[in-house]
Amino acid sequence: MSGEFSRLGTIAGLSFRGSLAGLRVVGLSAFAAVPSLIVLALVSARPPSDTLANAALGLFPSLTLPIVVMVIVLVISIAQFRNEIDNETLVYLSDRSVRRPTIVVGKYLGALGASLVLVVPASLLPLAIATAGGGTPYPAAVPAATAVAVALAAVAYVGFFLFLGLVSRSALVLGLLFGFLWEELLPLLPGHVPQLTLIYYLRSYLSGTLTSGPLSGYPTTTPATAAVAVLLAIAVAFVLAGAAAFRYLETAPERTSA
Amino acid sequence: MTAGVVEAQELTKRYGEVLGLNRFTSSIAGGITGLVGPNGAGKSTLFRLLAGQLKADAGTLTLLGHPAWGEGEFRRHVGYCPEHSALYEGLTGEAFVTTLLRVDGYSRAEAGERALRAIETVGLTEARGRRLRTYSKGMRQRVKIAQSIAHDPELILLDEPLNGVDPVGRSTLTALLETLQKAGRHIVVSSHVLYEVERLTDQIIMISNGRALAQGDLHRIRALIDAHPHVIDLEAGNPRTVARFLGEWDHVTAIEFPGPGRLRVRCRAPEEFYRALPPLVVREGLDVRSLTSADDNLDAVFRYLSEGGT
Amino acid sequence: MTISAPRYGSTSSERLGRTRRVLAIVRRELRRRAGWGTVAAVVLAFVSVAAVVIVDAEFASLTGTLRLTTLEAPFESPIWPLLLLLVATSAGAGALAEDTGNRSIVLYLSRPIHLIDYVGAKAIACGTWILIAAAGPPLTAVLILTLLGVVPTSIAVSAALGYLAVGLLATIFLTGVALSLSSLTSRPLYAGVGIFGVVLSLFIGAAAVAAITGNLYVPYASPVTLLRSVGLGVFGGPSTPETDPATSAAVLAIAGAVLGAFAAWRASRVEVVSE
Repeated sequence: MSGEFSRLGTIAGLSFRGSLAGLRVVGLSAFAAVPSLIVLALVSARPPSDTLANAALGLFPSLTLPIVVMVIVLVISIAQFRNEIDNETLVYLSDRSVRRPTIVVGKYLGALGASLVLVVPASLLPLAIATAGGGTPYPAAVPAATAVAVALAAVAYVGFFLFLGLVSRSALVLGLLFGFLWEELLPLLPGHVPQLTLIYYLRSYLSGTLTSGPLSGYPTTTPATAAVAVLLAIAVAFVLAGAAAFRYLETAPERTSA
Repeated sequence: MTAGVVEAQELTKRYGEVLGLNRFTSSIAGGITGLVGPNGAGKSTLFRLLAGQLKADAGTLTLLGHPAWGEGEFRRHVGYCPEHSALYEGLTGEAFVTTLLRVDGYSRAEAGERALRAIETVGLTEARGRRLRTYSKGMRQRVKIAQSIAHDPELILLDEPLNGVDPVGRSTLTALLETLQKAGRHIVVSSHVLYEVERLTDQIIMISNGRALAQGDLHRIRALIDAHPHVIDLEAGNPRTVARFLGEWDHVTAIEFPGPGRLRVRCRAPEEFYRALPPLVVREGLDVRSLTSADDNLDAVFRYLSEGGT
Repeated sequence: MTISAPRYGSTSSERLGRTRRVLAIVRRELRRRAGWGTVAAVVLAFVSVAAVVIVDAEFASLTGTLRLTTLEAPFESPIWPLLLLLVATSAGAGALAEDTGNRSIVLYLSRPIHLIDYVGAKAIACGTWILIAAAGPPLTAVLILTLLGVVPTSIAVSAALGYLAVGLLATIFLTGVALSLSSLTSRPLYAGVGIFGVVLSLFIGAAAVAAITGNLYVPYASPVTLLRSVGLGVFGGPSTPETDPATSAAVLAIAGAVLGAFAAWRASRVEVVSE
């Protein structure tokens, strides 16, 4: 018999492969390619080098992070538990001798890995295309910061959406409300309200890491390191909450026959 | 008195206003036990409670002395084959069984070895490299059974395992369950077809409307059922050829053709029918694809029992 | 073996007409689509959009600057399209996907109804919810303002017609989007996220490309921009529409119809595999 880490790896691998299987990965990849396609359209217009570089980078906070990353992570994370509960495949894992927190952590790692496979290229490819298309080259810190930002976004959002998919049958609507109303509208409000959103900490990280360009200058009082700590803490909190909830939740689908 | 492998005391489970199980009390001893009841009787609810998918609203339920709700190492000694046919469609049959064994804590090598053995036991060796999404209903049943026995559990829970399996497959699976029983395994198997279970065991629990109506020897109930003609639906490549052979059997009282490729047989001695069909199919090379039994007559018996006819 | 003679009997009864059968599906779908997500989004739309219209009109009335253009406020706000997307997602994502996923589409199509009746009934049910969210809040606001005597009847009638026209256009387009994406999958989750993702990506992407390239046709790729242009065009507001309102209306209507037809085509090709 092998240990808990081995079981964790098996569940993570199962979730990873399941997340990137079938037509779903085609749809998600197409969606991840949207920023790159837009930059390709920009390149074809042959704008000045600085304009092209700034426009491509400008897509990151306006499109890539709040929409592309959000949608990809939402789909992958909610599906982890919600689809398996509705399909009743979760029972193949839950009726084994594995501990339920191990299932939650394994699924988290699998979903995180699958998300990263899609969102990191979605953030870096547009910058590469802009540079290759004649845009002013970016300092190394820029692609590094964007890659870290999407990774942090995935770390935090996967934790939250995974939890949502586990505890709520209306995870999709709740996820969309969170992703496109909470995360989009609260940052527009004055005072400390934006600090209630994850996007605030992601932008704080970017602003604290980069000193110039469209990603810097976000009005924040939170240093980059604190922002990273908050995002990691949120991820851990939701994974722990998910692990605790899974111990007490029934996992048969809603319309179970007698 | 020794405790059974499964003990249910006043077990109640509600789905909103619908009662799935209603103060169900039963003790399941070793060997093979059949859980029989019409659709909606509460069989799957009981299995879901046993699998830890659902939590009882009242009463107690234990497996091998452990509470059924929740996780635990005791599940290493339990195998579960659910009724539904959902699987991890992207995996191959072999990867499916191996992965679940890995989740159970077996090393890569041992999991692979055990998976191959279980797959061979259920007769899926040739199809083990195919993705599950390409499996037929019968193959799905068999791979589900393979994952439930691969870790050599002490108690095996099989929810409608013979559903959709062809006559030869039924015969193979029945033989497999008998082998497992002889090897000292305890098996709880559900079906809405009493005659399927009768071939496996005399020990049954009859369940209806969420309650255990009767438990124990089957023979008395069988006598009741024989008073009702048994209805069996078959799917076949050439139904009229199959009907020609079946029409020669004395216990077959009527044959109908409800649709293309289908025939419905009414017979007085279903146990005889189930025993004689597989050899006939093999001998005559008949293309019989599936065999299902309507439960109307069983309902009649249950109505009789639940109305106090016992 | 015994053979018993069949017994024949007449059990014929009058069948309801095609319209009644479609209405039966519509009624069921209306209830089915009224999940808490749909209701919450509609309530949110009523509260936020109606509030914006009432506050703007009250303020303009106090300063004596109340015109028809004052009432275009919903089309200036980013909340209106976001809430419409949410309603379209909640009411439309599962319209076809759920039936394909749980195989009930077979039950529907095995009845004596046409495919177009089935898809049409789904569209009517989903569209009704979108229309309630799109036109209901500003219409309610105008009714309240008219009853309070803030808005003259002539302006109120024009505004009401304008809201209804823009609301209908939004309904046609978003119903088409929702049904077409719902027809592509058996999982409402993917359809729902797709509705949001596609519309918002087109909005932001078209804005970025248009800003850099200066191409005047690129904004026509953004449904949100088109809806805004139609709204501003109908109310003749001070803001200049990014696209020509009439062309925008035509693009939205045609796109909605094409997407609806696509959904019907997809539904006709659905193969429901039992296992």
